[in-house]
Amino acid sequence: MRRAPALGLAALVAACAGGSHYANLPEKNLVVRTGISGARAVLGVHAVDAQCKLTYEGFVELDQPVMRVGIPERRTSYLVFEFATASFWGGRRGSITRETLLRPRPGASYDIRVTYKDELYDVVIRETAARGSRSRVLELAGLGACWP
Amino acid sequence: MRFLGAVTCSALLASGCATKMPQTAEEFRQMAPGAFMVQVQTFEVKRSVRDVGESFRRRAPQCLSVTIRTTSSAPGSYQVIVTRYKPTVVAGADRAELHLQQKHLRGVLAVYKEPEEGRYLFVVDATPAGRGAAKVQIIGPSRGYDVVVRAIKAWADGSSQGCPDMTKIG
Repeated sequence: MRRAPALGLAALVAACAGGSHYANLPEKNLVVRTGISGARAVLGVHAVDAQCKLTYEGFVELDQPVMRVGIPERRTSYLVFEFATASFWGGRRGSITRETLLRPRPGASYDIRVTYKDELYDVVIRETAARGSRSRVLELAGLGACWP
Repeated sequence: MRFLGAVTCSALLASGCATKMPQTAEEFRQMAPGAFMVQVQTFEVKRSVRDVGESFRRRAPQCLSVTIRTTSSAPGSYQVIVTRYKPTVVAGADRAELHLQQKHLRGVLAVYKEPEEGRYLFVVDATPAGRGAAKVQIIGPSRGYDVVVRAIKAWADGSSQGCPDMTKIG
């Protein structure tokens, strides 16, 4: 019953995003695990240059429990996780985002847990530097952290 | 409806507080309990005040420092409301406080003089309640902000670090 407005909203999100799906790199260094109930989740990817200027690169609809995404190493990306919801008849809708800068280290993998349940949402990023090594949770860093 | 709700809520709180909007967290503590549409909830958690305060300190800025744009549409009407929320955390060994202020930037007009950062919406206090436990008191609206209350309770008892979807409030 809740799928109809959600699907409509997803179509709107896709349309607003210019239909620009992110051109995934073959090397998948992000594993995005989703636990979403009552919302649609979309990941927007932006490139960040030395002047902290953003260039939009596309979006990935997080519609599978586990998705693999490849973003460039040694370059900072700005990841925007958007949670979009709509009331049943679509008369009221809203979206809320979590953002972070991420500069993947060579060889590292990033396990990203994206959840939305009971109107509580969270994004947790865990970095594993090399196969079998210990992982650590990364603090999400907003765009303000780009400037020294 | 959201416009009316927001104005009515502010007006009733202010009228319950002798037509003066609380200008500080302490004034809110004194004036809000007993006012219409204000609820005071008290519960204990099996965590120290320091840990509760640490959760507030880590989560409140990330989760509650937001500006939300919501739209409501119905036949013949379309409304946009832009609201900014500002959390403040004061955390120490013996006491932890979380204040949340709300300021409407568009779509809702203030009826009474508000603090510069907006009216006080929630004031949460955690105080010691025996070894490794804390008493938590939440003063805030009795309706419309359930998701914020759930998040604050979860941060306090350590059951979740999730952020409340602030588009769901009001």
